[in-house]
Amino acid sequence: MTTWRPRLAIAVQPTVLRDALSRVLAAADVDEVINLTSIDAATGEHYDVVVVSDPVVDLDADVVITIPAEPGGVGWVEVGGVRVDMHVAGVDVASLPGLLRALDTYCPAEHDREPHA
Amino acid sequence: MRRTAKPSILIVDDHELLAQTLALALRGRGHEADVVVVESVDTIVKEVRARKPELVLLDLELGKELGPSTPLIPALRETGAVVLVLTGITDRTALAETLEAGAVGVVAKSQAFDEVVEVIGRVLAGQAAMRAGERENLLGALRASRSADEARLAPFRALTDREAAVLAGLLVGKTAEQVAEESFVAVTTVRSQIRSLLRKLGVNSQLQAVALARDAGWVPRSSS
Repeated sequence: MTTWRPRLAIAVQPTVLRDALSRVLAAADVDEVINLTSIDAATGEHYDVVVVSDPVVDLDADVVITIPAEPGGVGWVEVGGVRVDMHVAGVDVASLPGLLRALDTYCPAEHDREPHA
Repeated sequence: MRRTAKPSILIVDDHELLAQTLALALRGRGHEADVVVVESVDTIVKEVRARKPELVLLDLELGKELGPSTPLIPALRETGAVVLVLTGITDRTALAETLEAGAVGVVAKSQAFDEVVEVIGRVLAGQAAMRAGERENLLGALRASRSADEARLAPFRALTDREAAVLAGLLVGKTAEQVAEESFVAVTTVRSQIRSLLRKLGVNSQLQAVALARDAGWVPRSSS
């Protein structure tokens, strides 16, 4: 039986974070992870979830997780275009454990996303 | 997240997500990497000293409270660690200052993870983090910038303490009368000092003197 793997696109800046996050999430072996090197590469594609660092309008995704662009900034989650109240959700996407929790909460898969080295 | 008792790499970055993710990805490449919680300069140095990493991967800007990390580099070097700067800042003078402070090299956050890993590997193997030409170019840019600063500020060094104080008053919008009153001297004395400072700065008006001081980044001695 084939396990469903969410299509998860990473479109964050800076590049070193985008690459590292893609590797960490790929190592968790839960999602089909796509390291988006340019927004053009996403044209015509649908994703179950995308992680971005700046609001991007042209991405077709069920869930959009925006991480803080700057340290100390605020991130948020949009589900179906509607922003989730982060205080109510109790999720802080400014840390890796918080981001993994947000992914498990808003785009659950067969298994939780455990960080693997 | 697992804490590494004796990491070979400690990451000091106020971008929590970046630091944690980078540490985990580096572990995936066989490096014992961990993060330092960025609270204060003291706690950073204390933690690095206690955990004795071979390499500190240091962000150049540690947030509004701590500011630039360049002054931290000598203290980190004293722990025996080598310091490699990982930054999003592109100001060549600021980058060169980190080399001058003792960092072995600078890598940009805009570089690919594989490129950063390659540099880290070279540093841990005792090789140079940067090409010699690249390093010299940065240090040359710093020397040029300092020479330019020196040339710009040279005329201001000729000012006496009183002339500098008068110019400081003009810079914040005070009139000669106000400067005189606050200094308990006659206004004619202040006007004489203004004429003298205009001559030394090679300008013809108070407005030009103020503009020159602002352009040169001159800071009055009392507030420097």
